Amino acid sequence: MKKNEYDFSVPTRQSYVAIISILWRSVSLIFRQLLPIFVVLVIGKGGQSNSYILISAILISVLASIYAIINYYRTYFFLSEKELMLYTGVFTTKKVSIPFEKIQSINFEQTLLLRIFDVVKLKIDTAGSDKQEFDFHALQKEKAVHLRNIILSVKSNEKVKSSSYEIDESLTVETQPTYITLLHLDMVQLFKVGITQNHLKSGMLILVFFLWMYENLKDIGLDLDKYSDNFDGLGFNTRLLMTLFLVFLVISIIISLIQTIIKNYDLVFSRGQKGFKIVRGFFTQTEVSAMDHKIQYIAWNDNLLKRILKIFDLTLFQATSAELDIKKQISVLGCTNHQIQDVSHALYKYSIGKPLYQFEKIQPQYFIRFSIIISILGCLIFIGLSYVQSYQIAMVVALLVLYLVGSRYLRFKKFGYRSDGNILHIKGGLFGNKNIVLPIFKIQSVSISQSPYQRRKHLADLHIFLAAGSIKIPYVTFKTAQNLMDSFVYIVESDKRKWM
Amino acid sequence: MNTGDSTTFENNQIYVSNLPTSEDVIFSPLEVKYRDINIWINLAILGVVLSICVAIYLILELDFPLLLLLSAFLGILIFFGLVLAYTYKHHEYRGYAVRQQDIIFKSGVFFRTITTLPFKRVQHCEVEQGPLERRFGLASLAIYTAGGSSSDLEIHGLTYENAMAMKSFITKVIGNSDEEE
Repeated sequence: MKKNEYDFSVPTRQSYVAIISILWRSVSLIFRQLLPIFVVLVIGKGGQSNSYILISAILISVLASIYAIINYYRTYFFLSEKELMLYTGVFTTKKVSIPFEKIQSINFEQTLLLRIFDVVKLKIDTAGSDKQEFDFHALQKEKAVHLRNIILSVKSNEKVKSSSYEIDESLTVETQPTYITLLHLDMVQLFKVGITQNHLKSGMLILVFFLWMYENLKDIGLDLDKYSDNFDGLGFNTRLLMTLFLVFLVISIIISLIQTIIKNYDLVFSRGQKGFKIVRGFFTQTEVSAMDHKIQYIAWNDNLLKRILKIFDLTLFQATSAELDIKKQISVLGCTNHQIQDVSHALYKYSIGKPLYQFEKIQPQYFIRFSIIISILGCLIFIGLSYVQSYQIAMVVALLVLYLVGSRYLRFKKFGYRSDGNILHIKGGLFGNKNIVLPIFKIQSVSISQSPYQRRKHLADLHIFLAAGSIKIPYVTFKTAQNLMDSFVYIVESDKRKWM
Repeated sequence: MNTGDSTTFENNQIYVSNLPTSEDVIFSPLEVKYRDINIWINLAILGVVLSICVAIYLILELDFPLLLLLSAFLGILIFFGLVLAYTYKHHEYRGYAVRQQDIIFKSGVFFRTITTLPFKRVQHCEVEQGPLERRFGLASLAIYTAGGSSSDLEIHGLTYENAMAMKSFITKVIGNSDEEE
C-alpha cells in the first residue's frame, strides 16, 4: 500500500467538481419541484410573466451556487485509527463517525459529468438500524480507490488479529476483487432486452402524464374540451382510434426502449467470492453489490416476447437491515438460462434444470372456485346490462369474464412448487413464466390461512414470510400445508446459519 | 455462507412423519376475562348509540311512524347481537401454543389462520398494557420479525404474568441461539 501518496489522517476535502455536482443536484431538484408551476406560468399567462420567471430562475441559481460553495468548504473527512470521520452541513454542522466494522460496502457512482473529470461519487453503506448512509459527492477516482483500500485493509487486519466470528464478510471479499464476469450486455442484446420490456408500463405512464397535463391546463382556464368538439366533426371512427392506438403503442415502445438502454447501458454482472456486482448506466454509471448473505431469495421471469428470445429478468431480493422496512431489489435484465443456472448454483448449489423432485401441483379448486364466482357475477351484470340495452358494455363485461377465467386457468396450470429440504422452488406466471428460488432457512415465519370454503374442502393457503417480502402457495390440501409448515419450521430451527 | 459450511448442511431428506407436527399441539385459550371485557365494551357502545338516537329523536322533536322506529331499534339490536356473537366466537377460535423453538398462534372466525413463528427469527418482543388491561391485570404480547408487519404476531388477552413470562422465555431463547456466520 502506497501510504505516502495520500494522507487521509489530515482532513480531506472533496474534489472541486463537487461544487458543480452539488449545484447540479440542487438546481435539478428545485426545477423538478417547480416544474408544474413553470408549465402553468408559461402556458397560462404568456408574455409579461416571463421576466418573473427569469428573475426567479436567476435568484434560485445564485442561492443554489452559494449553497453549493459553502457546502463544499464545510464538508471534509479524515480517517482516525478505527473510524471514518465526516464533517458536513451548511447551517448546522453535522459530525458523523463511522467505525470501520460498521461499513458494509463502499460503492462508486459516476455520472456523465463526473466521468469527464474522472471523479466518483462515494457511497458508503453502513450496517445497523440507524441508516447513516453517507454520500460524498465527488472524489478523485484514484483517491477514492485508495481510501477504499485503506479501510478494507484495516478491516482485514483486524480480522486476523481478533479472529472473532463477528467480522463482516462483505469487506474481506473486496480486498481481493476477483470478480468473474457472468454477463455483459452488448448493444444488440441490450436492444433485444429493451424491445421485449413490458411496454404497458410506460404506456400507462404516458397516459397518466397526459391526463395530468389535461387537468392542469383545465385548472388554468385552458379548456381543451373546446378543441375536442372538432373531433366530432371528423367522426370518431375506428380508423382514427386505430391510428391513435398505433401511435400510442409506438411511443410506449420507444420510451421503454430508451429507458432500458439508458439504465442498463454496458451492464456487467459479475460474481465475486461472496457476492455479486452489477455495473451499468449511460449517464450515471452505478455500481451495486449484493452480498450472498443479504440475498433472501432470487426470482426470474420472462414474458411472451422474452420467451421467444429465451431471455429472463433476474431479480435478487435483499433485506437491508433487520429493523428497516426498506426492501432492496436488484434486477439484472437479459439473462439467459446459463446465467440463472450460474447464480442459482453459486448461491445455493441448486440446479434448476435437474428434475430431482417433481413439481407439485396445487388443487383445481383454485381455478374452479374462482371461475364459478366470476361467471355468476359476470352473468348477473350481463343480464342487468342487457336489460337496460347497453349491449356494448355487456360485451365488454363478457370478454372481461372470459379473460379473468382464462388467465386464472393459465395461472393454475403453471403453478408448481418443489423442495429438496434445502431449497424451495416455486414456478408460476400468466403469459410468461415466473420462478422463485429461496433457501428455506431464510424463512422468517410461516402461516396457514383458510377461508370458510377452503375449510369445508379441507384446503388452505400457505404464506411464507421472508425479510424481503412474502410468498403464497395457494390451494393446497390442509394436510399438505401443515406438513410444509412443519418441515419449513423444522429446517429454520435446526439450521445454524444466519439469515442475514 | 455457501462455501465453507457445506458439511454442516448437506442433504437433509425430510421425513415428514418424523417431524414434530403442529397438528397435535394443544392450544391454550386466551383469558375469558378478555372476552368479557370486550363484550362489556360492546354493550357500552350499544348503550351510547341508543341513547344518542333517543336524544336526537327527542331534541329535534321528530315524529316518525311507530313501525319505522321499531324496525330501526330492531336493526341496531340485531347488528349488536351479531357483533357480540362474533366477539364471543372469536375468543373460542383464538389460542396460542409455546413450544421449545417456536410459538404457534391461531385465530379467525370465518377466515382462520395458523401462524408459526420460530423464536430464532424474532427481532424483539414487547409486552403492552392499556389502561383497561392494567385495571384487569391483562396484557398483550407483540412479537416482531424481519418478515414485515404482516408476519408479526400480537397476542391480546394474556394475563400480565403470562405475557411477561413468555417475553422473558423468548428473550432467553434468542440470547442462547448460536448462529454461525
